Amino acid sequence: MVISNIRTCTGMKNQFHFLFVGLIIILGLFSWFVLNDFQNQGFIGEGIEMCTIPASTPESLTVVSYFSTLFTTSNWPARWTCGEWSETEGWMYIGSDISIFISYFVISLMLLGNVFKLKLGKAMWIVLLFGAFILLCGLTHLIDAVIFWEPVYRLSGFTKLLTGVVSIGTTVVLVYILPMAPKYKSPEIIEKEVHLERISKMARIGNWELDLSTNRVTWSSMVYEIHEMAQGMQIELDRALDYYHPDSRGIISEAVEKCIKEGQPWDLELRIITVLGNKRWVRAIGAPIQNGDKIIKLAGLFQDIDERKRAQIKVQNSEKELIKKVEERTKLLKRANEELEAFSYSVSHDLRAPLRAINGYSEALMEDNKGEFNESALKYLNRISSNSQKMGALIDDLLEFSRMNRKQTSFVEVDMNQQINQLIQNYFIGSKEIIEVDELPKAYGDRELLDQVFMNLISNAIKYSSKEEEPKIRISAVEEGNHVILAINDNGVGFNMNYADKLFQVFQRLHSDSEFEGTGIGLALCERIISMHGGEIWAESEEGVGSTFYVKLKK
Amino acid sequence: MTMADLSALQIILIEDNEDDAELTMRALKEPNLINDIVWLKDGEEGLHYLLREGKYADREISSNPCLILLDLKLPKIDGVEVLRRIKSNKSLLKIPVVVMTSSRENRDLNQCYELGVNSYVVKPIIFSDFARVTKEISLYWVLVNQLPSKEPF
Repeated sequence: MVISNIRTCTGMKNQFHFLFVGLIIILGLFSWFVLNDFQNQGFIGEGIEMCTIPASTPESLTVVSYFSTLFTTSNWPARWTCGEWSETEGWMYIGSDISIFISYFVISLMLLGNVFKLKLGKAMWIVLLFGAFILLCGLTHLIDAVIFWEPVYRLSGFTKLLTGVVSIGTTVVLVYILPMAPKYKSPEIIEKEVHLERISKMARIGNWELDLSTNRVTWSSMVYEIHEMAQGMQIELDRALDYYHPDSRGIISEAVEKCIKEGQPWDLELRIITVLGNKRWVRAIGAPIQNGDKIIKLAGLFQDIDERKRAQIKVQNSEKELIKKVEERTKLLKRANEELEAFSYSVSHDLRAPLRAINGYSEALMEDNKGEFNESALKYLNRISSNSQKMGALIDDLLEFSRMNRKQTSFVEVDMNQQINQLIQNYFIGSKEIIEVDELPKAYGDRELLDQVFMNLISNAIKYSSKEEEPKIRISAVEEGNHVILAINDNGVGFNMNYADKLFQVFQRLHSDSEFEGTGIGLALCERIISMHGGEIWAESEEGVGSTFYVKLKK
Repeated sequence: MTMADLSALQIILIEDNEDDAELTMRALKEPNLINDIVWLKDGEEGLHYLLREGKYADREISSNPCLILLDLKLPKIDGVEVLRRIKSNKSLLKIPVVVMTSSRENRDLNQCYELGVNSYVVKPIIFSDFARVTKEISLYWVLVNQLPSKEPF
């Protein structure tokens, strides 16, 4: 900006130099004429004869002789010598002519000097014509002044002829172009318009204006294009609104009405139906234009947002579909859960009753007929009784396992030291001697659930080391980053590590009932509880040496 | 109350399962203490008996039981509903009600205690345990626990 300003300034200066030099030359020439005459004739024609014609007029004048004697002075008297000139009147005449000349000269030179610099397009020729016209007018005045001393009437006449032709030409051009002048666009404006047009095309955005006095709408070319309509068609407001989709028409009509009444602008995403019948999403923006308090026009933007909107709707729809699917699945899951709940409820009721009956009657039989039954009958009755007991335990464990999924958990800081020692005190007091508990850190979890895990692991350790001569159980822990790893080690029978993956599955047992009794649910329950905690459970063992069960929990 | 009076006491058992009823009665009759056990096979019959309706309309009011053993899962009217009706009836609400059920569900426990059950016992599967629990709880409510007398102050 600054640089271009400086350039403009230097340009102006150069112009003035040019003007100044031109003026000096012309005024110099003029002085030379005048002084020359002074020398010859003195001021006001002294020494020349008053109003005499120095030579006779040639009889015929051809084009060639006219131009070859363009500067002749012989046929006319100098103006000073003709008529009664007072000095004041004469100099007034001369002075006025010269000042008119200077002004015209400067004006025309300024016009001509700038005409190439301004980007005027076709208007340049009009300015050039104007410049020539003014320059010629000025020249006629200069020659008029010169004629006081040098009667160059032929030159004057020729100059006036030229001036006349150029004046008429200028007049004709003016008459022709003046009505178009208001619509004239300079190349700069045209360039800006092209630029805007380009932007409009890229963004597919157009503008419009509604004149409330005529109810007529003016659209930019992009608005026509969006409507797939021939450019330049006259549009009334009602018709413009008719192009909106029935879903959108009410909305836009209301917005327009509100804007006209209350001056409230709008910015809406609506649908139109183009002339070719295509449905298209547009963004319509409108605002009032006021003259004082009165709203005289509405104007705004109109953008084709079809592609974006369709993509957006697609995303929204797929989102909705997803939500619906999730809801459906949740419903199914909930129902499955409810069924499971009903199932386990009825299991807890109905499966126990017959077991109780089997157990009850077999014991009643034994009690009532002790003396009459032989040994094998009593043995079988005992088997019936103990099997029904076992099945009862199995049902209880299974129920506990299924209940786990529905259990509300509350995670808190658990003092494992206190918790495990308490457990041993309450449930394993008989084995207290063989259990060694290290100092244990705190862990994060559900107290009740973790109790179940510790119970299971400790009772397993006791069970599987019960056949050792000196059973030994050790409970220890290490901290590892944000986690605590609890280890419960025994010197019991251990197991084959090849089957380690079966260890935590429901009903999977690595020992027969005759070796060690069990339902095959305890470790599965532990695994489920620990995974609910986001932790890990695993085991290491060597047959005949012992096992270690590890539980990894958050601190 | 002396031991001799015990034979005059009545316990009612509302239980649909024949086997459970049989075993319960076997457990109670064993010490030869309580002989008057009335077995009612569903919730409706139980309520009819207690409220002296239907075929029990002629039952004498003086023969009101001193303990009600109630199962929860009953045909027609379930145990929870029977409990609700007992505890909302002025002449019955002082009779101790012991719910004996297979259900360990928290939902059932909560409901029963909210309605004012006196005891809630989960029936053990092993008969010897079952017999012991039934005997102990009945004797406790009948003998140990003190109830307000039927006469006005």
